[in-house]
Amino acid sequence: MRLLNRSIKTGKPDKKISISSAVLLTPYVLCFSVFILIPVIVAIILSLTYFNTVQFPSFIGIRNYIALLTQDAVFMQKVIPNTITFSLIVGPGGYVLSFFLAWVLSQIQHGARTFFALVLYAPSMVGSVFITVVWRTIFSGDATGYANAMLLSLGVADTPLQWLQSPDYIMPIMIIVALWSSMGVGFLAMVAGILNINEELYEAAYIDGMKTRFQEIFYVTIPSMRPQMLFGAVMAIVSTFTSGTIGVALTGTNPTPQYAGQLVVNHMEDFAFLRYEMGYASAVSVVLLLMVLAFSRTAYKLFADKEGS
Amino acid sequence: MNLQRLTAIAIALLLVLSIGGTGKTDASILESGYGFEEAFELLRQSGNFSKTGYADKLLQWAGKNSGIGSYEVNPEVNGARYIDTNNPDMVSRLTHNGDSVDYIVSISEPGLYNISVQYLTIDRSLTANIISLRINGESPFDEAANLELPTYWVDESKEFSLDRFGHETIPRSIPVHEWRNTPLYLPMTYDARPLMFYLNSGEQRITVENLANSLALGAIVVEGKKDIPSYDEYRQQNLELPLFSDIITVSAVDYQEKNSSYINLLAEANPDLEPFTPGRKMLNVIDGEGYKLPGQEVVFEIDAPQAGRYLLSLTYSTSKNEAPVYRSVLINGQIPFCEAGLISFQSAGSRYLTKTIGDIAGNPYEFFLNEGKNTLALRAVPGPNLAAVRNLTLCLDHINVFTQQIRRVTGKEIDTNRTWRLSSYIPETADYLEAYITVLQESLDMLAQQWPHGSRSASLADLNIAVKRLVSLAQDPDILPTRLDALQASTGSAAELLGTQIETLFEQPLSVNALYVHGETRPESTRKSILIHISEWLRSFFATFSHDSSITEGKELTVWVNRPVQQVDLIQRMTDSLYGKDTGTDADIKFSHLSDEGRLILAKASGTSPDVVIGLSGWIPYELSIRGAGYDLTSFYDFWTFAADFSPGAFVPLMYDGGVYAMPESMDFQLLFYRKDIIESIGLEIPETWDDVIDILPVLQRNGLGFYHQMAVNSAYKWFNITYVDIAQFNCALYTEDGSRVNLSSPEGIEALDFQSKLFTTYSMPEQVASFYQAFRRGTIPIGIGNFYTYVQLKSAAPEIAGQWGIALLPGQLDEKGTIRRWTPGLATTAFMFADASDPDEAWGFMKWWLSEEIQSDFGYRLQSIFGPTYMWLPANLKAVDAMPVESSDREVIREQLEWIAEPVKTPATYMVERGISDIWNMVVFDGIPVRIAIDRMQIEMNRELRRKLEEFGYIDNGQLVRPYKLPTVDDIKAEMQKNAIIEP
Repeated sequence: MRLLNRSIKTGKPDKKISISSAVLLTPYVLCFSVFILIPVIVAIILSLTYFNTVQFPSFIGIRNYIALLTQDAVFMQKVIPNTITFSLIVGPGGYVLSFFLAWVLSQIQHGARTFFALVLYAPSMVGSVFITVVWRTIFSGDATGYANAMLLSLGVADTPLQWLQSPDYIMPIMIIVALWSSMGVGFLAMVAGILNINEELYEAAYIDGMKTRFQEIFYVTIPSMRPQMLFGAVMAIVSTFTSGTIGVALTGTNPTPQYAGQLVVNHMEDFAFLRYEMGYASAVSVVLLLMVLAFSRTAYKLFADKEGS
Repeated sequence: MNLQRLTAIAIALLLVLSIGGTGKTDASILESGYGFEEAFELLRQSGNFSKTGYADKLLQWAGKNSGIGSYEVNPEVNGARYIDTNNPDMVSRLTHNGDSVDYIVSISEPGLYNISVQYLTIDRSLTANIISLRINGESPFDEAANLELPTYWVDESKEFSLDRFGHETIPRSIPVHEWRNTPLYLPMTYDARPLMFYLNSGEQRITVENLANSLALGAIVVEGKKDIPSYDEYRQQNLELPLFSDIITVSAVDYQEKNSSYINLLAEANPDLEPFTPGRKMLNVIDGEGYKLPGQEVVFEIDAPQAGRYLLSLTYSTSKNEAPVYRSVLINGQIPFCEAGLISFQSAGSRYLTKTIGDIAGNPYEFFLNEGKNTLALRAVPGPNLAAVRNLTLCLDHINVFTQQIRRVTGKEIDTNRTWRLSSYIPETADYLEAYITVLQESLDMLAQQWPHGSRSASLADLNIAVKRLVSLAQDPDILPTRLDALQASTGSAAELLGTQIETLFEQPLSVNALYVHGETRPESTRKSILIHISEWLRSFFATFSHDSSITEGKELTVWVNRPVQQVDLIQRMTDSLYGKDTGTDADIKFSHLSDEGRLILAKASGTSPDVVIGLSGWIPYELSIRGAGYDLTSFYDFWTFAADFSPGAFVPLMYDGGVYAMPESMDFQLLFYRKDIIESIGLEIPETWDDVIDILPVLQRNGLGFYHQMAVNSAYKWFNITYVDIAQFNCALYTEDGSRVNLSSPEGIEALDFQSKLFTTYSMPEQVASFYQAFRRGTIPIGIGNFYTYVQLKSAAPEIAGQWGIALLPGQLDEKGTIRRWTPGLATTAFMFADASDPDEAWGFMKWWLSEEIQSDFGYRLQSIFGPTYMWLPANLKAVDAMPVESSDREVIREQLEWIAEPVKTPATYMVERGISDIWNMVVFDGIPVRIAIDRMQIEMNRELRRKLEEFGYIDNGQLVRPYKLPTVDDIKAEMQKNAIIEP
């Protein structure tokens, strides 16, 4: 490490190095532009057009954005409130849960830890298939669904509740399911981060007068794993904002009844594939991009290394 | 105390088993211990089950003599005669569903007789002919109300045609329209013996009633019952004849005929079998998956070089893993000796075995064959499982009756917090439960004897769990109401487990590869070594990398098919062989499988769209066309003439601005389904109008039953195919005349939506039913609205209620003129042409050919005869519906319902109206919002979207309606059709 730094610092910037770094960068630049940069730019361009997927797009300026902000009642009344409720609970909730479970895992021995990490990580991998199979069975609307069967047998309910049809229940169920599946990559990063902390730091802290496990978390664990915390936060934000499959998978339809579980991504799909308005859908996706960007910046502010690296 | 009783039962069972559990003859299976008999009787008496089944009658007739003599009698001619052109003197009657024919026969000696009926199948139906038989106006036994006269089928050709890749294709089955003379039999008897009837002396009137397809009925033969010799007697009779010395091999694919079109050939990729070529599919076995239901029969022809004794061997495999399967062997239409009535075939995993037919000890049976042609039939029989099936069915039926009794005590919603003492209402509760356990345990033990793994066999798991469930319920019979789910009505309940078990016991799958008639020379085992298997597998694997593609000259047309791949293959084969011949063009039509309709849009955007798409969902053509991707079919001069063969209502969603952009291809609509037995037993009539439905609801609910309304489907959003029924029936137009506003707040609209939600709020129909098909089979919902898919499902996968249910026209709303408006949406799939089709005339020619009466009925027919009953096809071409292979009575209902097809008019904002209507229902039913308020709220959103969309397509500019959006109506379409029908000579 030290050796490398020194050689770069002392060596003069010459042509050889810039060519080789250009060559080494090429795969990344190519992949990044093909898979991320160009689609984003195309989406931004399309958002300024009327495009019905059949005919050639025609330029209409910012009319899509105006319509989105002034005329789209569903977007303003249902989609935005839903998305914010969903994100505020699932984002921080899932984040805290991830950290807590990662910390708990770090306290147990190796074999069991790997096993439980896998168990906790699994739901985020299996996704919508699992939702349809397991959660739709649990919340089935007739008396045979697990949730209904339990409530009926406990005498809490008299008739089966229509979990996935009645707009009152859809959002809470979506939140439960999302929290259950929020132990994703961010969680794995946090496990790794906690395990990487030098044990000597804890010993030093105890010598310096630290007394409780809580102090340990606050003064040693979290500050030592900032990069992982940042990564986890960004992943949590991105995944909550872009998760649209849950409501659709649970209710079996897009849109969800009375738009009760409609998130930005569902709204986007609704316009793109059901109403054939790709331009408008692109505008929605650009708004989504801006929202994610804004929240990610906030996360950077909170967790980024102040020294600047 | 319960425990004591249980132990007593267990001890009794052990005793029974130790005394009489060895023999495998007919008698010993029916024989059983005292405890079992008692339990059996208790269930039978208390359930009010009749004692007039064939098995009961047989016991009653035990001492009766066989009848003497043989009488051939012609039918009484008092109805339509059937004239056979080949045999004009023959007296026969033409019968349709519901017709009956009388026969008068003078019997001299009272006794037991067999009756055989001469008949000729006329319909092209794929289902069996069903008759009922009465003697002097009375049913001789229950089963006589439902007897089968099989239609025999032959393969179109034994020279199997090859597809583009050189694979052999399954030949079509063709019904044999030929007079047959079949002794009446039941598939559900122990073996394939003909049925017996007890006839008194003197004049007897025998009435045969046709219950299904059209049939010609000729003479019947009443013949004294013949005793079938035992094998020893049979062998003695033929001992002096020579034993054959050579070996004759008959490939199973060369069978002569079969009595069910569901029996089909299969190409097994298994080097053990003949024929087999790596990399090419060669048909080599009769598929056991279609050859498994009792009564199904395959007939082989054997050319015997001399009259003599022959041994019989078979190369077979069965997918039933643990238990043997059973077949009866019939030589020249008769069971030669008792033992041949029940031959067991042991399972050998998935392998094919070669086995010589013989007794348990392994001694082969010698069959006597005449010189020359002999027929040899293998008929599936339930064998010793039958007794168990009977016991299980009794328990299942009794559980259903008992549950209804309990429901009468508890009411529809069972209060689980109450301390129930069911015994004080139904004192027999504990006895019933114990009787179930006794009867089922006895059946389990009986079955376990023939299973290698005994009662622990996986295929008996359902029965095992059912017994355990009942034992746990019997611990405390008093609280049974709170645990009713474990007894009946829910998934995993004892009743459902029994139902599944009965089905698995019935099935006797047997795949046959070859048949050998031989003497001392036994056929060699066909089993090849593992090395050969591996090398052949490798050769097959590498053969998949190369295939010959045929190249034809001429125009090319690309057609995408939104159907399963096998059906695409079938369509390709039909087109390859027929299209050129029928139309006289040499165009090469290439079909591709379209797995996702969303791809059409992407294909269009990238400029790779096909010429024609078939099997396309009904809502897509409009969406594509309004954006300029569709071809206006009215520009073809003969469009309206051709369209007149279709239901006018089906065109409504395919129209835009006066043009028609697709042709209807197949239909799917709502129908009323009802269980004849249950509806009759509670004394209800089939409802004609929705008011009738509301009238019968209290009676249904009082009996713990329900009515299934299509709105209770298992999906949160209710689409137009179900919501539009009420809107159309209340005569509500969805939009105002200029198409610029939604019209739901009109009086008709409010009435329709109010009615729709009232069914659930006021009349408390169930809001969600996981599966109507299951509830209907179980009898908890004996009447309801289903679609064509439900019909197919019930027809093909509900054997226990076959003949017990019917379909009727959808209930409607009575209008002022007294007609019942039975409108239902009905368009399923369409054929669509892209605007940039390479050759529109050729494409239109193809569409006309594909949708023509001949091709559509041929396609439907091939689909079913190749893939089985679940592939029923309901064509949109009305003439093709008339030729559909279903029972004529059902066909009439379907045909009449097709006159009542109304599809919602399409606008660019249809999806919003569709969602809105679903949301209105949701708001009223779940949130309790009054219907008018819900409509007002949703209509604002619908109108806003409609305006936005009309603006997008240039109908509204700056808030002003520039040109009216033209809404097509059924009347316009009818007028157009009539106008063009006159022009055409």
